[in-house]
Amino acid sequence: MRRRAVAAGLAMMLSGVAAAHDLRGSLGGADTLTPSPRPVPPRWRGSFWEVPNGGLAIQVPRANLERDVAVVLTGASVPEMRQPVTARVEGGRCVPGTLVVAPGTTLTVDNEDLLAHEFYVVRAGQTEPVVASELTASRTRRQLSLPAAGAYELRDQRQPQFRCWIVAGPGQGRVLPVDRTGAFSVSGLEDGTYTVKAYFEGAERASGEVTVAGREATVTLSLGGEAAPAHEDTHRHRDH
Amino acid sequence: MLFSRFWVVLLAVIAGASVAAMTLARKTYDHDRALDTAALVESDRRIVEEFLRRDARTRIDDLAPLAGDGALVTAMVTATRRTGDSPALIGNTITTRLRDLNAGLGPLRGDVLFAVDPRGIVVGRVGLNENTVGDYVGGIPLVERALAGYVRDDVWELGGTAYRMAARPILSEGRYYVGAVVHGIAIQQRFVETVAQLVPGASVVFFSAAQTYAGFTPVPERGGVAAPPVGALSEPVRTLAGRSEWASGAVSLELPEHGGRVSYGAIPGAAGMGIAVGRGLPSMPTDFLLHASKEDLARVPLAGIGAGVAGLIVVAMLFFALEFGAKKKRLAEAFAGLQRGPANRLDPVALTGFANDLALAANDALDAVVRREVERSGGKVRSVNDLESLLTAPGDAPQNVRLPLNEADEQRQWRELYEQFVAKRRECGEAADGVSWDRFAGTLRKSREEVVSRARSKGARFTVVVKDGRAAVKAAPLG
Repeated sequence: MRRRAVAAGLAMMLSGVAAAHDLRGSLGGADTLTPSPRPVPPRWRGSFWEVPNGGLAIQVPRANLERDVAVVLTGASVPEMRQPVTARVEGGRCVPGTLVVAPGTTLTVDNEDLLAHEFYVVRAGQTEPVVASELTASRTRRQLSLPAAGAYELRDQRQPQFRCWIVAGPGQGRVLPVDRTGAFSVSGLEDGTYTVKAYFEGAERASGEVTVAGREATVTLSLGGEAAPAHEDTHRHRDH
Repeated sequence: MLFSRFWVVLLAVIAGASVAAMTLARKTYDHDRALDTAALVESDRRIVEEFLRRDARTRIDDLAPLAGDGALVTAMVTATRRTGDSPALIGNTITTRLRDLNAGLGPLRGDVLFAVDPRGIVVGRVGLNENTVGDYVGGIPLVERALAGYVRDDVWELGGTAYRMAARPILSEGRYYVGAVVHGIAIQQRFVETVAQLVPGASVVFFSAAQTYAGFTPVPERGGVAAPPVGALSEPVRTLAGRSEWASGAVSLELPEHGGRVSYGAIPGAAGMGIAVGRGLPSMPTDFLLHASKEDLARVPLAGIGAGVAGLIVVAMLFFALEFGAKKKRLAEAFAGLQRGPANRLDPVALTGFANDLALAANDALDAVVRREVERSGGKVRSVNDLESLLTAPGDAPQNVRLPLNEADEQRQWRELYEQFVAKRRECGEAADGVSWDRFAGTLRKSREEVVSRARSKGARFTVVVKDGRAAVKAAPLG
């Protein structure tokens, strides 16, 4: 009984000295995320074979939360990302699928693919390049500079279906890694109110506010609709 | 004169027209051949592209037994479940099986062959980087679509070599996708030569913006058109991206330095590759006789050409006979008359053309003889009438001789000369109204003074002549 009282008193003392806490979150509604169709250019049609195997139904592509969704945390105590930002191209895909950066960020495209690419940048939904295409051989990298804030798409002349979305805007904070299940976390947050946003294919699909006050906080974002309301997690509490 | 001139003009016109026709024919021929060649290389390119499409379909179909191989499917199921054996051990099993299956493909044996699990991870590999597993390739369209259930082809560039790729999904029990098999054959010289056989006489090049993968230029047949070399086709590749028409996937260019035409076609795919088909421009040969066969010569209508030439020669001879025969005859008669007398001079007025010129020259010669005789005789011979003993037979009376006369006689002779001149002008088709006697006589006086002054002669004699088809008065010193 005495030992328990001592531990409780020590915990109270520590919580008064250090106020760094965890934030845990999860993405819901992942089933509603369907990669947008990426039609091949008209002149490509009929130039190669692409027909169903005839034995089994074609699989519908599904979003990969770990690869395709970007979760960004912003708040008064969260500094903006430091330059340069690197986009890794591997196996024909961009990792992460959506990059959230501050305007004027120098973007390094690291081609770790076994194939060469001819990357160029367009504004989202447009076709006119704002950064001209250039050959980026296998195992090489290329640096891009985005002209202004906005949503962009990194594309490839050789693989028209390739996409890497770039969101350049002010107030971008810290990108949180997301696992295959949609879970994400961050440690060492000071008490305060934070905003968590989830981006998919260059668009903000969910956002929510969460207040961290003396204990670990959790947030759940629903990608299928509005962001779930932020709430404090009362089940776990860790003092430093 | 008219006939011979007409004939010369006719020959000149024929020769000029022939040269012009030959030049025009050459230009027209070259222009038409240029258009034909442009259309031909377009056709060639489409033939090659269609061949590549069929070739891709063949490779896709030939992969079906491989994708359905029981041992491979079993190994892929194990790899997909990620249970039991370690990835390296499974990779060895799959690679070994792929190697055996690849050997059984015969001519379609892949230079690169690998299996991919449903997550897009390479789980077995033969050929390039053999036995290397674990790479993620699931986002590459060929693999991504195969994993989704499509059969597909593509063109890749791996390590500086272009590969014709094909992929098929691997199905387990017809109910599950357990991965895909990806197969590639390098585009090498032998393949390009095979492709080039589809378009005989044309050069074929596989290229990307950065390099030429392979190319072939055929050896021209004897008398055939040389195809542009591979380098000539590769040279403009760098400029293709800057051409607006390249967005449509095809560009046709002339190769002026090599006298050829080339058609570039983009091959959609991950390699950013293209194909170029070029041909030389046939030109009207200048050494065509060297290439003429006996059959060609037999088809030439030599008899007709010979008859035409003979006819032209006959017409030419006829014209010359008409032209020179009559004049020659009249000149001979004039000389005969001079020989017979009593005339001591030829009458140039009666002669035309070269005969007139000869008559005037002969008269000048006679005058010269007279002058020499006057000087030699010490003045005994003072006029041509005194030459009677020299030039004519005794007793012949001199006639038609123009000698220094008194003014009345001179006026009379000039009047006769005027009338001859007017008549001759009319014969020549010239207007005679504008020539007045006073003006004519004034001109004669002036000419006489000039001749006397220049030749230091006692006078001048005038004769009416036809020169270049026009009537004229010719003055000559007298005495």
